[in-house]
Amino acid sequence: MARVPPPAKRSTRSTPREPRTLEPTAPSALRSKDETIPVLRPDLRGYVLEQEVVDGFADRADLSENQRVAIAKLAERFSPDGASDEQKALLAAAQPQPASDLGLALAADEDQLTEDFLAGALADLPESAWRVISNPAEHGSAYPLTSVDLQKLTGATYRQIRYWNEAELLPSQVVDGERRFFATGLAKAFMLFEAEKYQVAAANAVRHGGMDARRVLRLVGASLVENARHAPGGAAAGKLAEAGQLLMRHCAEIVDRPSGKGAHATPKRGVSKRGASKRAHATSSRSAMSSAKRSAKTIAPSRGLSGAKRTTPRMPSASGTSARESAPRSGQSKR
Amino acid sequence: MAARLPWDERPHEFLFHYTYRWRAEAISRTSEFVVGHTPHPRHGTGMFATDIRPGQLPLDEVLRILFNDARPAEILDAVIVVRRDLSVFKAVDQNQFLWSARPTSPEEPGLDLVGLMVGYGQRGVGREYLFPRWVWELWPC
Repeated sequence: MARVPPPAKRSTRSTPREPRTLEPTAPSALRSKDETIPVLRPDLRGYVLEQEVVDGFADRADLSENQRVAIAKLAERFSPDGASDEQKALLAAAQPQPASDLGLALAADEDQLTEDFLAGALADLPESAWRVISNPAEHGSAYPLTSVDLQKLTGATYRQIRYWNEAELLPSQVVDGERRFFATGLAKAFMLFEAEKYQVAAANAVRHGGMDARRVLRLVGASLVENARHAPGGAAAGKLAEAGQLLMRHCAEIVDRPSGKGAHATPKRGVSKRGASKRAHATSSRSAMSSAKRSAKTIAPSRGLSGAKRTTPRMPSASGTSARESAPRSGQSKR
Repeated sequence: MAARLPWDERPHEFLFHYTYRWRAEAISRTSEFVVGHTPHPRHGTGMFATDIRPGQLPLDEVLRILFNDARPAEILDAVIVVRRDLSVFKAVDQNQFLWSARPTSPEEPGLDLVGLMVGYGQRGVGREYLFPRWVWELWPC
């Protein structure tokens, strides 16, 4: 019988562990054309520009004007000798630059993401979707996202993205004249991809106002009131009933916005305004309804061939191709 | 390489702005903070920062203290480190400081962080905050 050798003795002396650092080669979650501005070092004795650590704050003619102005500002405040004459001239001539399109878009998107999160609109997003939202670079994309990026990241089809886009269900921002998507748009795309086609059609109807929108809201309102009636009671049930009643009572004010496609139609020539308004309303309602029905038929179904509802999101793998991940926990709340 | 970060060594000299990864990358690249339009219910708009260091408390607790759980914890993955310049950042609450400013409009610049920002980090796979190698190497410990 073979003898089992004794386990090798391990050294008990601990060696100091190298701290884990942020690798400069890590893929960026942001696609930006903005130039990099020098960053003050924590020891205040120099600056860092694109990973290059520099001692002192001397002017450098090889840099752009914005970068030189930033170094001049640092010299003025942190150099023992202050800014040089050349740097003082640079600072005197420098004009404040307006915020970039990208910076404004990112701030606006953050506002919207916070608003949607607080409203509970993103409560059902699985953790796997949040991971993609946090760092699309792991899946070969970066903000700002194009429609193609959204397809790649969510697994949605071109037709779905186009439909959601045209229906104004995907929040977007304009960057350098182009419509682009950020975290809120990506989060909404994940949610729409998970939704049943009739749910998307109802959201589209509500978005565009008119009779269909009011009908959807009245049905939802009535359901809320009914749910509240059967709820155990308490303040929450009362608020639920109140919300349902408000929804039914004020549905027209909520959905009939001036730019709503279904809400306002141009009166036809030679018809009285009142009559035209009624006719336009009826026409637009029919058109919105048929549009919703049509869209319900045409958008790519979220059921598989078997007809079973798909509950797992299609998530991109590291290589960028779609792969399914585990389903979210039932009733999972994100906070 | 130093075994401790500058802000662990001298915590009273720094403040931290916790944000999303992509937003932190934009801020660290341009040294500019574009102020959003949604005001804090009590303090208004501007750039908020805290003296709670990365890793000092569990992130859930940080979010509760700073944001009253009004941000998705899953994606609050990055931190901007700034000098604790109390001529700019005023204390508005326990652990909270604000550089008060009106929302940035397309015609005007955001808040200029040149001379204030001294680092940028993001959470890694193990969920701890990672900082560039130079942050560790520069500090004379």
